Amino acid sequence: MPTIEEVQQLTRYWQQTIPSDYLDRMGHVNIQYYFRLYDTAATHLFDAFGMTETYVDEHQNGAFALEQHIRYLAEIHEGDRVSIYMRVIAQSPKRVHFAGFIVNDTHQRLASMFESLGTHADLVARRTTPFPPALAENIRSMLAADSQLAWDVPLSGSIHA
Amino acid sequence: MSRKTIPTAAQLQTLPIFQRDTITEDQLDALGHLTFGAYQALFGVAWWAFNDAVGLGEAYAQAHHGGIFALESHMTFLAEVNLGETVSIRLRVLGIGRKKLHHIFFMLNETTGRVASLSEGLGAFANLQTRRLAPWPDDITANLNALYLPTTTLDWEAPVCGLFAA
Repeated sequence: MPTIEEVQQLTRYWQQTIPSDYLDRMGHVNIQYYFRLYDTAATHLFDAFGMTETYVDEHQNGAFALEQHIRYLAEIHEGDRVSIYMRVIAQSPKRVHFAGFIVNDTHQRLASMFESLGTHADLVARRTTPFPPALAENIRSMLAADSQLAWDVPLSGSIHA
Repeated sequence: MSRKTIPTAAQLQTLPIFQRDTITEDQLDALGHLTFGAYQALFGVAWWAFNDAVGLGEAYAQAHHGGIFALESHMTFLAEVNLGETVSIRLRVLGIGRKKLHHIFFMLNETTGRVASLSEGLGAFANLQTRRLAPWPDDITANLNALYLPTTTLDWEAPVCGLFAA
């Protein structure tokens, strides 16, 4: 796994403090809130791709999730401050593969790693479609920037764009 | 995705159901999609029902300070689910180790007969006081085996991500 200093070289797409209603009977953040944290950060990542609410409304295009993988590395508790960082891994005409990291700022450790495969989709036809050129170019430039980093993402190997 | 063979509705019939729900407006986003939160809530209800069924209910956690920690999850979204459709969440236990458990939940759309999504997981028994992984207690192992053993004769392979081993 990368160090938190390495993860902090990425763009932070979300930060929040953990409320008590995220906890389950094991006394730690329940897995459904990991998905929620990553989903919230991914919404901002897709905004950065150009897939904003305005884009979705005007073009009736959006994103569908196809596959997601989460590794739970350390427990997260009530009151902990967490930051979510994202990195583009790969793209294809219709798909984008990206990774996410939850850093527990309170305890200064990596709490979780995430991988997701999303596809561009026509929301009227309910079918996957290629990213339009402007969005594909945005993703390409973000991928190029992330590729300059000196560390590799420890991918699961089970997700491919 | 396409490299996995998804079981049919008929093949899933023998698996135990831990949640069944009919989709209402409040589970959908503005585009008519089941939200991520709704998927996770459905699998979450199934997860706790499964915990209760194997003897790891809240009373057990209180009395014995033990429960299951998730180590890794793999979600696959296969088909959309629409308003008014009924889904069931069915469990197949894939392996039981000394401390670990490998399982997969299938979300079957009972209305359309299609598998809507998969939630595969690797978990482990944990001591809730030390917060460390621990071997399964014998009675819990027996309960897990009661779910696992009937599935070992199934004639279909589960569509796993290939990374988890109990």
